[in-house]
Amino acid sequence: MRPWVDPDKSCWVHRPRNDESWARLAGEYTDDERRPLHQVLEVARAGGCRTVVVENRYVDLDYRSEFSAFWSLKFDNQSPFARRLHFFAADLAEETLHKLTDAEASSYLGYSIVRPVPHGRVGRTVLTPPPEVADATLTSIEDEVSFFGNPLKVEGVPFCEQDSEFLRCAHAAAWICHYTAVRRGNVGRRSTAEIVELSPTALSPERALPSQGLNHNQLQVVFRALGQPAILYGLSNLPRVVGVEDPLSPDEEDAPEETPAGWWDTRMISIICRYLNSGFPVLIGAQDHAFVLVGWRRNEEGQVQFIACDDRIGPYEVIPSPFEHYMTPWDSIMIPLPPKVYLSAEAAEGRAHEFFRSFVEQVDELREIEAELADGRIVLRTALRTGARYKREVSDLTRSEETLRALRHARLPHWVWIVEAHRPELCERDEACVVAAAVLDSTAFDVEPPLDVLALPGMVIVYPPDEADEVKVNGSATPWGSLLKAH
Amino acid sequence: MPIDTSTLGTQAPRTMDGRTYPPYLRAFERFDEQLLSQVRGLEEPTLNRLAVEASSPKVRSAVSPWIASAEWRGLIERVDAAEPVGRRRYRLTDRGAAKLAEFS
Repeated sequence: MRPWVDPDKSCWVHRPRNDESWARLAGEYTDDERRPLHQVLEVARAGGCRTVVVENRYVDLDYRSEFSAFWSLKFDNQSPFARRLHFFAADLAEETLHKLTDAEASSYLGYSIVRPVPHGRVGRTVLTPPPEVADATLTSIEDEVSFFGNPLKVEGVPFCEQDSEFLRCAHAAAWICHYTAVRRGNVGRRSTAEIVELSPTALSPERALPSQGLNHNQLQVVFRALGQPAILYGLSNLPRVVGVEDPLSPDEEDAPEETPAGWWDTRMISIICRYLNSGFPVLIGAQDHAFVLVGWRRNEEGQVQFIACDDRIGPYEVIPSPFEHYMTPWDSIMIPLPPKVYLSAEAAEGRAHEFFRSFVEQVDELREIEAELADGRIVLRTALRTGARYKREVSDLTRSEETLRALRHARLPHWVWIVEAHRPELCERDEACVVAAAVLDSTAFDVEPPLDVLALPGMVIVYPPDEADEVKVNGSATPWGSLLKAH
Repeated sequence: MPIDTSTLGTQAPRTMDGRTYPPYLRAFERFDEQLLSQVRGLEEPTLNRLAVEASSPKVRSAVSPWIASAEWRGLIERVDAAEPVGRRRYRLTDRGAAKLAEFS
């Protein structure tokens, strides 16, 4: 075994080719088979990794902050340096690592920082999603890395593990949400130690260190300080949404004790998907644990599965159902959002449903849509986008210059909720499936939020602010494409 | 956490780390006959498969907590118990088969 910091080397290379050599690499850092490091290596391996470059004596912003705030204060402390594992699908020669070819650079699968701490080896990690989840809607970010002077890029979801003493699961989960926002340019970067520092001790009876974790109140304070105030849903009190089937409680009317909703309330699935569709990670509180949902997909039977970054498991865990997860029943859903997203996804969707029905009932040719909305043959899908992104992407949905001009000249807020009405049978056939769409101001109040844009078969109406006249143009008479990857 | 087998068959099963059977799960013992029979009749069923086969929406909504209840009582067990993630498949235990026999 090498000393943690090898004074004579900047890096060294592994070329694992079989179970044994991958296990040997993992064994250098952990002797526990269930630890997240194994999952990190499995994800890299599934992506076709052939070369692992270990960057020695890596100064990691997050680990160094943890070292300064905690580990350095111990009598028998750790090294201040981390290592960074870089994964490549190409075979790299050690002597040309400083000058990668374009092909070698494009084979980059991501990185994982290894901390020199006894528990929780895996620090900041961003890996290309494994093929198993390639079709999922993920809250991926693009990260940039300097690899011995070679600029590299990786697209994936961030992950890190708790160390059990300074960082707990809630800190790791908060960091995943934070780093996603950082890479999107929504907030400035704060280190993991700053996240710990922002955790108010007054809201917990526990001492701050060693940390016992965070409760909802503490997490909310942290998110607010990070510029990402979180919307919180308690599983026992989920909102009703028009068009979403109410779940059936398994309890008898005279049941002495209610079964926690985390066992049966199916509404959580659509709530979570609305935010994942928007690109925002969803923090799940379950008993004494917190983890993050970073994506969703449908299985071969059409049922929703979630993709999680759980610091007890590792990145890209596939959760077949929230009702058969090892942490079932889940208790809460928390989504850190940009500060001025006041309007909830459910209020936006409910309001759009009202608008769609009230408009189509006035037009004979659209009466069929009203009936389909009423009986669930048309379903609504909702996502948050920046107004700029909406205007950019809408060009893929229309061939009409008049429509595109009207939409791109619309005066929209920075963030808008987009609600699309889908015909599921068209979605299943991968055909254009949207028969109506609404754009709503995210800074509006939940009660009767106004429309910014309404699109129905044959017409598009833009509602400017300041009581200006609405702009009405002809729209597509047939269904158009969705702005969502999966629906 | 595995169940302390010495507590199976009692009114208060416990896990090896001392957690006790949640009281609200007792209500789902009323589905034992129907759902144990389904577990026996299907090959290593999943939650979804049991839900699809459920006789009513009420039973369907009870499948997930019933599985938890039955696992607590050692009536069913996971086929792939060592795997923390992924779809879970179940089979009847000897205790579950004996329980089912009581109904016939």
